[in-house]
Amino acid sequence: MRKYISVVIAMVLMLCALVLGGCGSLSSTNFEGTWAYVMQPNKKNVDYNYDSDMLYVITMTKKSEHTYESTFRQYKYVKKDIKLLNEEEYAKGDRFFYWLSMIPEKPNAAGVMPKVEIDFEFKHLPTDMEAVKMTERDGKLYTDEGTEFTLDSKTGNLISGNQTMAPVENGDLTKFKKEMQQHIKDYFQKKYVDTKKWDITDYVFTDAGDSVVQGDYKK
Amino acid sequence: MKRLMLLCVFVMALLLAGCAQVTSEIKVDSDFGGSWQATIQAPAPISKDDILSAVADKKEGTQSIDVTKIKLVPVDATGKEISGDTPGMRSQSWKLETKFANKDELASISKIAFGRSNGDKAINVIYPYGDDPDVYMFNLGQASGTTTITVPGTIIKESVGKGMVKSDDTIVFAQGTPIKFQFKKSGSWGMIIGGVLAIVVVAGGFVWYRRRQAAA
Repeated sequence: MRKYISVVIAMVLMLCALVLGGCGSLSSTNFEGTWAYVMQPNKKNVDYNYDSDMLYVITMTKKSEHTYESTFRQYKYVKKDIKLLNEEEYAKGDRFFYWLSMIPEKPNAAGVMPKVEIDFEFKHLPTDMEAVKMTERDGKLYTDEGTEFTLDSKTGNLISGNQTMAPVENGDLTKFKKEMQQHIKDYFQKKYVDTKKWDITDYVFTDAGDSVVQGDYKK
Repeated sequence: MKRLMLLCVFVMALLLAGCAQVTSEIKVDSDFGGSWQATIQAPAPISKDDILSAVADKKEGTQSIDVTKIKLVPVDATGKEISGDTPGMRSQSWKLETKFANKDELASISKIAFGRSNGDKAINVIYPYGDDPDVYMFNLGQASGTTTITVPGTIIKESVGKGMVKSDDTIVFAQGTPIKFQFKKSGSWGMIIGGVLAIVVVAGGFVWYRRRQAAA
């Protein structure tokens, strides 16, 4: 008799252990951290004189066992200036030069190319979204509106549908800035250098810092 | 699923054109599968063929809709099925009945028929909310007509917004209102406790049986 009772007790204990030990409880993944991704303008003929990539940065802070609060910040490179570096030299071979209000886009009569320096500034936009409550469950993170995120354990990337956000180490956005800078360089190379309109001698990328620049995010 | 999506595209196209009203009834089971019944009210009589050819025009090269899986029948003004549904038969009202196997298929319906979109990101209709493992958010999008939803649990009344709670598990949203509320799913701990009890009963019965055998 005792043997059978022992069997029953053992089975019940085993079930309880399974439930309390994980089979019935919720698994957990730590989503605390910062991620970012660069989004290029979603249009056919992108013009980086006016358009720009957007850098979205999402930071998750743990609030309770299964909830997080996320904040979103947005940045972009804004065109600051385009300087003609060889104005005098160019004007000598183009008598109409001083009548023009814009930088010429061809060699002058003497075959001198306009030498150009392009300046862009990295700005934090005043369009940050409000903090969003998120719920973590079984390795997935859900926003209040139902957007779902998962974490790639190998790369540390945060993934939602076709969108992948790379982890930001110690708040350093350098690699994302470089990606944005490259898109700008590629655009000006293709449009002005390859077509012999300008000789672009330098690109200057400056940083406006983290202070929000009000009112000029449409630039 | 692709066929269901195509049908949703057609329904959405009608809605976007502002020429149809869709009254929906969605029932969700405990595994988050369920059924979607809708009545499409078009401004002019249309036939099933119109619907099918409209779908074919939108997606060239795709298979036609499997009407054995998705029931599409003409109904009269009172919602009663019109008998003698023949090819080419035209009706101003159509009743659509289909099933969704899981929450992902429901999310597809939400995207196409209820206009929910979040770019390339993955969206859900039913998803966990907060620390309570049994509490879920239900977020379908905007009601394109009167929309009744039945969930496998108790609706949290404080979360319903403009919805009208009909009973503990059923809620109604008027046309144009956002369908978003929380509910507490019933059954998960009950099933575990019930399972444990069942095993105890079976094991107890086994012990009792062996004792009787030993006594005989």
